[in-house]
Amino acid sequence: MRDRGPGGGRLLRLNMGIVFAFLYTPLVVLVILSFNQSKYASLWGGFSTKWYGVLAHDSAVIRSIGTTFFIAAAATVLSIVIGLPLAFGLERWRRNAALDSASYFPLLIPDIVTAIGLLSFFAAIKFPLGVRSIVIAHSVWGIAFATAIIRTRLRGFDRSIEEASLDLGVKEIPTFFKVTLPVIWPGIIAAALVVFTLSVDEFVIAYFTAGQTVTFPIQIYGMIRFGITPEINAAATILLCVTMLSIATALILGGRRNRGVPEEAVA
Amino acid sequence: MSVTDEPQTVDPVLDAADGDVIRIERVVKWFGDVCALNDVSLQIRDGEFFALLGPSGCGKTTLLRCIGGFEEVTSGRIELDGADLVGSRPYERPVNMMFQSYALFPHLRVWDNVAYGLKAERLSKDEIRSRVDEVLAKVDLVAQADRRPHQLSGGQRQRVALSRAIVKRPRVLLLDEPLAALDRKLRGEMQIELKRLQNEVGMTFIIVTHDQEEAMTMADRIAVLDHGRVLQVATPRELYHHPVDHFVAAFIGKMNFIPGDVAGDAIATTGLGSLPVRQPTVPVSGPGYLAVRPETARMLGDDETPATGEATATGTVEGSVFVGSQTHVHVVLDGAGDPFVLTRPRIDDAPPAGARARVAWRVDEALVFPRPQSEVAVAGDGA
Amino acid sequence: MPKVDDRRTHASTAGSASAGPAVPNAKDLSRSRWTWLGLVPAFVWWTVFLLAPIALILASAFFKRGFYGGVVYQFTLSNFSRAATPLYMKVFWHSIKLAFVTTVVCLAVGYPAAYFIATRPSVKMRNVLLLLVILPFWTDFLIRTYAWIILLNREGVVNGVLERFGVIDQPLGLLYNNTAVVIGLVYAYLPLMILPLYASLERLNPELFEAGADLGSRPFRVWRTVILPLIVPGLVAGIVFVFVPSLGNFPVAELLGGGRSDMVGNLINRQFLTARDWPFGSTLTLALIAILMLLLLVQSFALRRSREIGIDA
Repeated sequence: MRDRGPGGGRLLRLNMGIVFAFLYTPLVVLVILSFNQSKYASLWGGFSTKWYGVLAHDSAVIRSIGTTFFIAAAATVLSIVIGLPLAFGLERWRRNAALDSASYFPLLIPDIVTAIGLLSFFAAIKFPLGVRSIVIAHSVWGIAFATAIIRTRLRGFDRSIEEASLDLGVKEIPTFFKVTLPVIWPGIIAAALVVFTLSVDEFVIAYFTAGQTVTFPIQIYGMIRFGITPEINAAATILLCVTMLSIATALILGGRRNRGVPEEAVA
Repeated sequence: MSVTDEPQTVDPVLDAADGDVIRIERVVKWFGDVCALNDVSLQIRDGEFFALLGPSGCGKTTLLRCIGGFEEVTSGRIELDGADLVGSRPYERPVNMMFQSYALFPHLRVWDNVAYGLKAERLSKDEIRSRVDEVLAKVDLVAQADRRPHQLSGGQRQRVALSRAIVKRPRVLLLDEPLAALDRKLRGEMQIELKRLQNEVGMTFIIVTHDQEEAMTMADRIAVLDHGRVLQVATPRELYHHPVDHFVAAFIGKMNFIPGDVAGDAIATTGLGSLPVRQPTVPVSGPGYLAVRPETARMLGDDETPATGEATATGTVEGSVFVGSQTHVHVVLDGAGDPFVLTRPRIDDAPPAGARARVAWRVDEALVFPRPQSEVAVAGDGA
Repeated sequence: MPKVDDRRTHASTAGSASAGPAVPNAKDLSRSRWTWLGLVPAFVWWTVFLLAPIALILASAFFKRGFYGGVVYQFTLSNFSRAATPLYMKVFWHSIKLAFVTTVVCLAVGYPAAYFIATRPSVKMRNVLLLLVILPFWTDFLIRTYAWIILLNREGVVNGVLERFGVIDQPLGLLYNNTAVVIGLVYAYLPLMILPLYASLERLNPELFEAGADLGSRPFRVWRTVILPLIVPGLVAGIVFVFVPSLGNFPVAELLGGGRSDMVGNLINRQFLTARDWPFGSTLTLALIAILMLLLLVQSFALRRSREIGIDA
């Protein structure tokens, strides 16, 4: 299957091209329009960065960005702290299929269900809605993501180096910090970046559990509903760049092969 | 050379000697409902190069890991210089292991990998530096000291793993299939290297391997294990010439087996009639095997009569294989079974396939064993 | 050459690097105490913040709405009977239809894409293509939806371009209808169809295809009888990953549908935040969960069959 397919190779390429065009055109348009002098999307009024200026002075937007980053950071920390031990536990019990699926379950639930559930829950226990509730809400799926990513790193990891460390005189806890952690570190960073990015982007769950708090996506939502100002294009472009950078970094770190695993047949 | 015909059951009380560094007494290890080690007892002498040999699944690696502290025994004792190791953690034991996968720390340089264990001992920086440099010089890795494991070749990684363990100057060094990952040529070189190193540092080495040639080349004494039991502990020579049972005889070197029924000083075969045997001190009777080493058999010429003390068997030549310094001739003896193999030094007199041949061997150079219960049911070749 | 000693020794003496004893090599035994503990915080967290909330939804559905909103703990089944009325059933049915169409489109477009990527000869190329497919997916959901608004609305780019080139005189009403919603949904979830399909395809032994052809089958038959059964896990995963979120989606329906294309998501949104009828909203959510469970059941059936014949997702 590698170097051929059934007839219609050209058709496949065409399809691929359409897919990419479909996926990227809206984003490209968005970026271009953010530099549009004119207010109207259908008219090109010349190159201008004025919408970025408007954005910079919009205090509501700035505030929401700050709130969003804070929430994302907190949710990330929480997800890693809970997800890391979970990843270890799951790898140990890898053969248990039930446990495995249980850990992916939170990812399958539609965000609106989680959102509604948490809203009802917080209301029932009279927990105030706001930054804290959003952080908790984000951590629910954040843990699942963090665990999944860290686990892939754990899988490629030669466990016998931990035994070697014990053998050489280092006790269990120092072994974890001197040997295990440094080796899986890229996986942890990748997980953190992914959870952070997803939290910054997340809308539905935040929308329901935010109370009076405004996160950046919620802010954008409001702006979209109440009329379109090109300021949004600028905001969207910035968010786009930050997200892409972050994810690209995460993928590079998470995908790098585990160094030092001995090749069996190399002389 | 004394003739050891008894299966060597090791009695810890009687056979223990002062020169022993490790004493393994009646160790049993269960993994769930699988018995990996079944009443294993061994003594290993100080400064010895000792091998645990056996097929995959025999328990040799489990035993090694028990000595190292990575598995806990279900019952029994493991003594090092008289002190029982059972219950202590790996870092509490004066024993170090060289892992099969080498287990090098990928995020540390070679130098730091080797120094790792010393730092845990809280030695002075100078002491650490001199010991590490000394060991690296010994294994010829000084030039690689600043590299990371992934930049090294397999042979270099192996030497790092070795140095890392040796630099700690343990009482005993454990090696888990150390040469398994190397190619043939390198393996041969490393065998000599390891032996030389062991001599130089004077440390006790315990090596696990499934390759009998490797064990025979390197070890002073070998313990042959199968299914969690120790079958025989002896020097390579002893094992080769005086294997204690059919399994060991088959496992070490190459051996020809002729099945039959043993009674008195003869074995009744199907197809070859009755062949004379020399009984061991503990006589064998009932279903058994006559065992002949390929290099002790010879081909009789057409009119040649066998010498006194020789037994003969007739068969048809199946073919010969030229392996350079020798030719192996395969003869299918009357009565079937696996072909009888002889090794002959010269190729020009290899008989053609299909020819009738007579094979002869000295009766007192052949061995006889009882056939294991599991194989008695199979008629004919008994494999 | 038959080696006489090989009769009793296992294959390992032939010099292959055997890994060691056949017993389960419990290397992690020394860590088992700690790793057990690792599972605890996560599952406690999830029990409190995921299971309890969902249980609460289940419970709320049986209660009445309070006068000022909130929940009055009086048992009632009226929410269910209300949900079963044609008014709401229509919305559910509509959502299912749209989710279905979205899934079909994603399949139609996504499978060839996944196939294309899986058949690229160089690993680097495949990774690059995958990255390119994934990247848009990680951008903000709202932004992606918003991008379509500015493309499709009356003062939007598409209309602008068409008018510029004189194709039309009046701007087209491209937005605020079912099609726009489907486009938005496909845009949101297409990568989720491509990825699992790619994963399944990538694992296929390339020679299978050639074996099929060699034995006389024409390409389509080979595909149907050889490839298709083997990629079922990926196929099912892709379908579930697209259908489920599409069904429960609300921003897309709200922003691109503009009230004319009501989906379950908007309905739930309105009940909770506008009408403040939480119990009823819960009932609707429950219905959504029920459909979800049904799908997962179907998925596990499909997967079990695959697992039996030895394919892993």
